[in-house]
Amino acid sequence: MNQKNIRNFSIIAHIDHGKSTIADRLLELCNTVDKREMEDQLLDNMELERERGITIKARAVRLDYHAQNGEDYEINLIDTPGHVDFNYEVSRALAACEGAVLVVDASQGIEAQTLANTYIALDNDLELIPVINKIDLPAADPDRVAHEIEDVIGIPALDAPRVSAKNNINMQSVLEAVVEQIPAPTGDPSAPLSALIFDSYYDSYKGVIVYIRMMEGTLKAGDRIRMMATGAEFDVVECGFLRPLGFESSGILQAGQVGYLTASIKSVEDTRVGDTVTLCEVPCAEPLPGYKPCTPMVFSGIYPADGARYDDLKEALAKLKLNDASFLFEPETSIALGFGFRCGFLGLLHMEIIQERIEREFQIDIITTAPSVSYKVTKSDGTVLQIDNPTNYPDPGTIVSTEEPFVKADIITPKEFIGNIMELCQDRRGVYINTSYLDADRVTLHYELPLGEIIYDFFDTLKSRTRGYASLDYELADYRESELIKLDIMLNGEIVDALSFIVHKEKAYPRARRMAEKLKEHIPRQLFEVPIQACIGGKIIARETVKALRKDVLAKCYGGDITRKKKLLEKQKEGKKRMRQLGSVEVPQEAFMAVLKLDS
Amino acid sequence: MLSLYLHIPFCKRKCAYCAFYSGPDGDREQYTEALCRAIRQAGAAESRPLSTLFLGGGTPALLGAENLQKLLKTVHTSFSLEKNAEITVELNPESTTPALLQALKEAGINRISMGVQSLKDRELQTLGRLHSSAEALAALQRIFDAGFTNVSVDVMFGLPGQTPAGFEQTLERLLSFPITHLSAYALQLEEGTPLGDAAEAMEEEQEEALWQLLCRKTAAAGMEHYEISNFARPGFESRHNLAYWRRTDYIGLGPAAHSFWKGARYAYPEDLESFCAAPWPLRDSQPIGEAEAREEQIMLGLRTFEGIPLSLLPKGFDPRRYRDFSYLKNEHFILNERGFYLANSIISDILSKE
Repeated sequence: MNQKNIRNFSIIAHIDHGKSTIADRLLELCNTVDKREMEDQLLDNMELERERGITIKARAVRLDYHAQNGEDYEINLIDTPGHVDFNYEVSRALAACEGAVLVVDASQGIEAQTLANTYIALDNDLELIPVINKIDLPAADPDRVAHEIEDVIGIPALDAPRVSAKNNINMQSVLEAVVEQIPAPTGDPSAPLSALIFDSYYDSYKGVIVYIRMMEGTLKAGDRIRMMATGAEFDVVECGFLRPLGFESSGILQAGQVGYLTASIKSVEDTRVGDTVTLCEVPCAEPLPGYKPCTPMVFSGIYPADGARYDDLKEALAKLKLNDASFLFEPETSIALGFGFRCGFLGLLHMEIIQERIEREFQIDIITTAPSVSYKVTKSDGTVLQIDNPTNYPDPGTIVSTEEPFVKADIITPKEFIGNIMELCQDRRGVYINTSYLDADRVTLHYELPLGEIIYDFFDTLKSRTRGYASLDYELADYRESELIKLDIMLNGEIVDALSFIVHKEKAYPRARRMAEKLKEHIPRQLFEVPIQACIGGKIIARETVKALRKDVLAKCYGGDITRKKKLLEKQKEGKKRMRQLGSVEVPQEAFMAVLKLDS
Repeated sequence: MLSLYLHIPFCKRKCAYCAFYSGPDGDREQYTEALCRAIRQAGAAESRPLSTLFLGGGTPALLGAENLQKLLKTVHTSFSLEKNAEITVELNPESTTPALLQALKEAGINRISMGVQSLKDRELQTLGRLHSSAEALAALQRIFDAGFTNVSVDVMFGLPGQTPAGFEQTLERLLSFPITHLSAYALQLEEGTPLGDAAEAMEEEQEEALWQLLCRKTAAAGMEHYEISNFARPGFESRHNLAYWRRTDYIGLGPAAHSFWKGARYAYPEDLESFCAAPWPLRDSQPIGEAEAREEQIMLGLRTFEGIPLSLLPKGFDPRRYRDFSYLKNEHFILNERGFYLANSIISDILSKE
């Protein structure tokens, strides 16, 4: 294929603005997929993705399009994740493109996530094609949205294709715009190889399948390649194009193309997103710009509900890790929960996805501790510790200063909710920067917020205080000095390590109260009274009591019928078997989870 | 050791709290015939003598003296009976006529269990009982007058509106008779019964106070608390009742009656017709394996003052943690009165540690 007939693009859209449906329609238009094989949201092939309606990892597909100008084009559609946790993945996927289709909902307008990804696209010098979707909805106002795009992003949008992906209206115009407006890739097929890795996943037959964008040079099966950041070297087994239902081996890829390679690679650890693939024999002078090793932002402990399944959990985590270089885990032990793992995630959604996959794909019941961020603690002897597990928090007497991560947050909202949001941000120790108007009705609020507050049900609260209208995007800014303390929970006088957390001094009291109340609510009455105490150091700041059980007996037994008693006791017995013995107190698994899940 | 239970599922009217299988309908003669047939079948399958026989209900008296005599006669011809076998019939105050008592005496009944429930008329009305407190007291007197010496009464506590003073009066008046045995049940509000659907459960502190009162009063009267719901003068524990907790064999005949026989549990279906059609031994049996037997031994043994051998306690269970609820005697772990009242929790603690 002639390089001038190649187009590489992404779709940028807010979570429910119809990205997956648009992708499906484009695939249909190019007859890339047989109607019979067409499944909704074809690009999202993980079960969880379909259910949540989001794209977790980038995927790519090649479309062959016969354009109205009579020419044939190779169009590569690179899908991007639509969530703030995966910003880096988005940036690498966009770096693999020359253009992006910006999908905006004709009634809802631009959202924070769209805007954030649009800026990443502009940073990568991408040609932006606005597309106004859902024009057939009663509330659609494409003119207003077109103006908004022009005002906010500063690109012409009045002639933007107006479509309905759902009802297949005007979809061809999107492909025509891609062909007409997005520049063809450049790059010299005879130059030393440099290819950008924008995704990879593990396949048990082929090993890791690496998704690449050929920037310079040519790649052939049999070539010896090197990953420039990790230094790992492999022999290419196979390379070729990405098709919706599989891979089309071509044995060769050239500058400008998008495709895959396999090389019997055992772990995605060696194929980091953003890394550059080059040839060992004729390496390129420098790696492609923009590579960042991933840094987890959110941490939590994951324990098997049934201690006997520790090895199963370990295996599950290792398997997930095969496919997800941004997920980290290492063994840890808790007095309350036994043997488990400390895990690092890109963000809350990433965490939830991993947890759900463990339960769903590996069928292991797990207990997870409350999410934490990574705090910086400077001790009097000058050492600086990075603390992501409350258990490792040093003795307060030895601490000189504590710092916590702050993020820059952009919140887009209809202006009627500004008051509510400011109140929320204030409450979450946010620092107000400024407000910018998107149009007469909508604004972006710029704040700096502690990440620790964002992972504590911020998103849900934001949604509920704005009836779902506000959208949030954030990126890590820096570490700031902050008055932090460690809060411990005691049951019957004994500290339960798994319930400890690090919190800002001002927040300690309300959090302690809430925790104690929730524990009281969830710990069933037992033979003995159970005092619940929240304390900082030795000082108790909140207390609740679970009163002792007074009566638990079945009296009547008609004519030797003991079946009812047996059933009841069997149920009680099974319930108790699932209990966690925390010191002298028995806490049901469910209660433990409910307490740790702070936002319910 | 073998026990026999005969269920008479007839009642003039169902009490407001009753969730058991009984009712006013059904042909008395036909039922007597069916029951006699079952007795003969059971007797044919057994060679051991009966230690106890219990006629319960329902209201056994509703069969009439003649049918009751027929049942007892059939038992005697189908089984051998131990010399001092305990033979009990359950009565309600309204059916204790001198004639019936005389007939029962002649038929060999040596123990009466009467459902009094309360001596407060308002409480009796709430329960939907057919007798007044005065009638109950008169009936009790007639039983003793007829020459019965081994007499048990049933009472209930935790009734709507029941006060400690009222319950104390009920207990005191009953204990002023030379009764040998008292069964006391906390009212259980069963869904689907008129009372269960209408009344609210008593506050637990109040009910606990009644329970403590019950324990105190019976102890003062020289009774032993030999099972969670049962009190007796020494030597007068109901052997039939104990058979259930000691897991000795018992055969229960009648609709919804349960049996534990030769290592398996059996239950008749809950309606008259199915009972009449099902010969003993029942085809559906539930054999009790070793592990289940052990669990049963724990859950049933701990209901009594005999407790369970320490050897039955699993390793993970530390009886010292349960000092407030139990005591150790002759290598047995036994629940005290506080423990009885929390028996389910303690038993399930033990079972969960297996």
